[in-house]
Amino acid sequence: MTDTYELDGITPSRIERPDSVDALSATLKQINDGAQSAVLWGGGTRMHVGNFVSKYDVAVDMTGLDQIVDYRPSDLVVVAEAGMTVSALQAELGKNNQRLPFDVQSPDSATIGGSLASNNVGPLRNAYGGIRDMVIGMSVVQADGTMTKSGGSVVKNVAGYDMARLHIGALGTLGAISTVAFKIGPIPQTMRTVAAWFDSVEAAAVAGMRITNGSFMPEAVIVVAGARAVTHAKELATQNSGSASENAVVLVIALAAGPATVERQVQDTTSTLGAAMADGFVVLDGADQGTSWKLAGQPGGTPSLAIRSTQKPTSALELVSTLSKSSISGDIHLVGQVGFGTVEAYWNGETSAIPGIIESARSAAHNVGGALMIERCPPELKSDLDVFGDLGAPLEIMRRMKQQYDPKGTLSPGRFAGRI
Amino acid sequence: MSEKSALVHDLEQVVEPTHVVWRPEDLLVYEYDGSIDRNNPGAVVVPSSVEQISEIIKIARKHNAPVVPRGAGTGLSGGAISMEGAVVLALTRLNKVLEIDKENRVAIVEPGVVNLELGQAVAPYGLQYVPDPSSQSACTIGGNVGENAGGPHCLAYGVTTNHVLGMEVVLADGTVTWLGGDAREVPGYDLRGVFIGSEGTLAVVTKVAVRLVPQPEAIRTMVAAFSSVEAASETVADIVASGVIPGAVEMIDRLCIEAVEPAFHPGYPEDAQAILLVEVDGLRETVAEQAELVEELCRKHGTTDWRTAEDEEERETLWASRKKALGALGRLAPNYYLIDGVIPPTRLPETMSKINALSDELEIPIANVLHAGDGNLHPCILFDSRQPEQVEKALIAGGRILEMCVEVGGALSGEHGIGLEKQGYLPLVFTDEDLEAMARLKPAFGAAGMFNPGKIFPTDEQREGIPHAAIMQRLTSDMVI
Repeated sequence: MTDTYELDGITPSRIERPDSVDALSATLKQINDGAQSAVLWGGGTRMHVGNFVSKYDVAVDMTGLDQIVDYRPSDLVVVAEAGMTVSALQAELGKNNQRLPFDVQSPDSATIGGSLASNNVGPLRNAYGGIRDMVIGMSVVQADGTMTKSGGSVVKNVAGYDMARLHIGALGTLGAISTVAFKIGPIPQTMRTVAAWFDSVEAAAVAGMRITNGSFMPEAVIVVAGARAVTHAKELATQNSGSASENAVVLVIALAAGPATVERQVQDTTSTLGAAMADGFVVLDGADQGTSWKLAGQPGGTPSLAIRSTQKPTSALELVSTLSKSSISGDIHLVGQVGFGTVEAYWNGETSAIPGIIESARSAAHNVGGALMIERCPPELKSDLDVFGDLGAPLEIMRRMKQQYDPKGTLSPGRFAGRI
Repeated sequence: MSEKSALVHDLEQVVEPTHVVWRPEDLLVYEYDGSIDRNNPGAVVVPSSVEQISEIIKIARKHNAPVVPRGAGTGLSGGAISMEGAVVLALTRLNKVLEIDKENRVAIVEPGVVNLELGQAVAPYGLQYVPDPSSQSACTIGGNVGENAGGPHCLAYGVTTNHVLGMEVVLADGTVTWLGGDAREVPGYDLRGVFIGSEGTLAVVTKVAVRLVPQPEAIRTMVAAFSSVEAASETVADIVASGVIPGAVEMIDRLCIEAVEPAFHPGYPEDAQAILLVEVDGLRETVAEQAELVEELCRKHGTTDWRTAEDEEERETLWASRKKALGALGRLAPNYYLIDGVIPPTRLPETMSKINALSDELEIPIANVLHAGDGNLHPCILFDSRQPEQVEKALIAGGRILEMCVEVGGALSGEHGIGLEKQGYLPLVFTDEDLEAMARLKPAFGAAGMFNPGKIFPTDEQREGIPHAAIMQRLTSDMVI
């Protein structure tokens, strides 16, 4: 709950909302000196990620830090405060026909800092890598209030250690991201979406792989299975005077570049789809494209369980197939970013069934060499499992990281891997 | 006649004695890397397996000897030079491409694999490894990871960190582990990301999983000559601002042209003051679209000569003129000191003018090669290292150029690292708190005092005195060049 800053059933005794980096520094110093613990909040859209916080006294709401610090369109660089929402930043960039080429869930609420800290990335990572690949500099307020920075605001920089990497995906357990410098890009001149449907998840995934490994890199490629995919396939089929089966699986491909390039990309993509025996496809333009991309996100309402597993693309293909067929497939929404190798799955169901589903999913991911993270599950289950899974030998280094950067356990203690 | 130390004796129990170098006259070979600096190592060991490396590290630890991992030694910031009597761990025998996974576009390679050879190994699969430092015919993938190396084609496609999925490393206690893996991401803190570019100070890389991409369907390499560096710089700034991101936008200036023309005969116009080399790649349609825009912008800024490489041979000649420009500088002076600074592309015109003015002021020639598209300058200060006053002048000029970069919001290094060369300049950009936070990575990796000592972080003397004083002292104390 964003308004109460409740996390996994715990409500903090105090809420702070600093409006400057200096104020953030003072706030953290006070909390750290007072041996209290803080949880950092952005838009609150991904607070469910992570283990159970073991001590939570103060909520530090970062949304007061919402300014653009520096924007130089001609250098393709923007520096923004971490509490700015992704939509607000994109709107500013859009005025110059530019964008940050990454897509997050709930961009109107999700903040830049929160998206980085929780590694909130959508399908565009297929072409542009994760959000971490766009960060060129970062300022961080450490747990004790010390203000630090690394990188800079030019697109190439190897002076000093690349400290920003450490905070991306760290769930705010090593410091508070305060400002971020990004490498930005132009909004492509032409954008098209090709949406196809198949009668099996394997056929869709194989076609997706073929397209990703083809003559060019599409912006995004996702395979979607589950009831929502079936409904969407039927809608698409109706538009196309065709039909979709009760097991339909959707493959969505984003194409973006100059007009002549996109025309060629559409040709290559649709000819691959034909050869891959798609049941049908449509080429979408303008606002129509949005509907298919909504499938990339989590289902409406709050799912009981969400997992994300990353592995090699061929292994992702196997995992998508296994998950869609297993006994746990009941009420599933399955999104495979097959080119990148990520598989996300969402379930709605009874809490009592969840541990069994987790076990099956973990074992399926393990069998294909995947690293599975539980992104959301009922809080009452979190005390018995590490949502990060077994990280092996590097976990020891991660423990020492926490010891170095937050020795008193001020920032979301227990929330990270190994309950760091 | 010197005697084997106990350390060398122990090392010879793990690696064949022929692969342990310890006699002072033999160690001289490892005194240098590609930078202008030098210092003698305590010993050099050339292992052939990860097991040996693990044992070597344990032995070094027992003898309180730090370890410096070394690839081909092409680094230009002194990263592979041994300080404090450290043992150099030369990784050149670990030079196998272990696996090429075409479907997943990943290769697993040993750290001593040469960058260009990796490219050749994956080419038959229709794939390529993107980062292409100019030293790619010699530099190694392990070294590229250490320095987060770049190259001309990083403008559109990113540097090493964007193309390495993970690596197997040996930690300071001899433990072998992977940071990252063979997939695009792993859960947990991004140890892979923070490790890349750590200049051999945190652990020793023994395997690298690299990301490969398909070779482009079409490539077009274009050359535009300009009658002034400023006009060429303005063109670059306009190309970047247009949002079209070519595969590469490189520049060389008049002095470089004088060096490369007789060496490679690229056929640049005699009166050209600056040459832009622009390459676009991708689908045929992409290449046509981008090339048209680039040509339009070059013409708008008054290019005096415009041409497109007709065939692969001409393309290679044009690239040789850029990538091997440094070697050709030997025609102009016995030594060069290459500065690796970065500025915002919009500040190119004024910065290039300032560098020319500096050259006049100090009466020392400066030849410029630039990864212009990303604002990565490589001014090459030409000097004669046998003349101590010229050495000092070169170091002063280098420092002044770095200050210029910082003044316009740039960076101290785009791809070569800090090493020994620039540690004195880090306080220009980073506060004590920033550096302190960085320094804590070493204990976090359990590596405090163990790997590549004396690098990156400024010493107290450097903070208080002249940043280049230590290098000057090393270079002039026993000048033998």
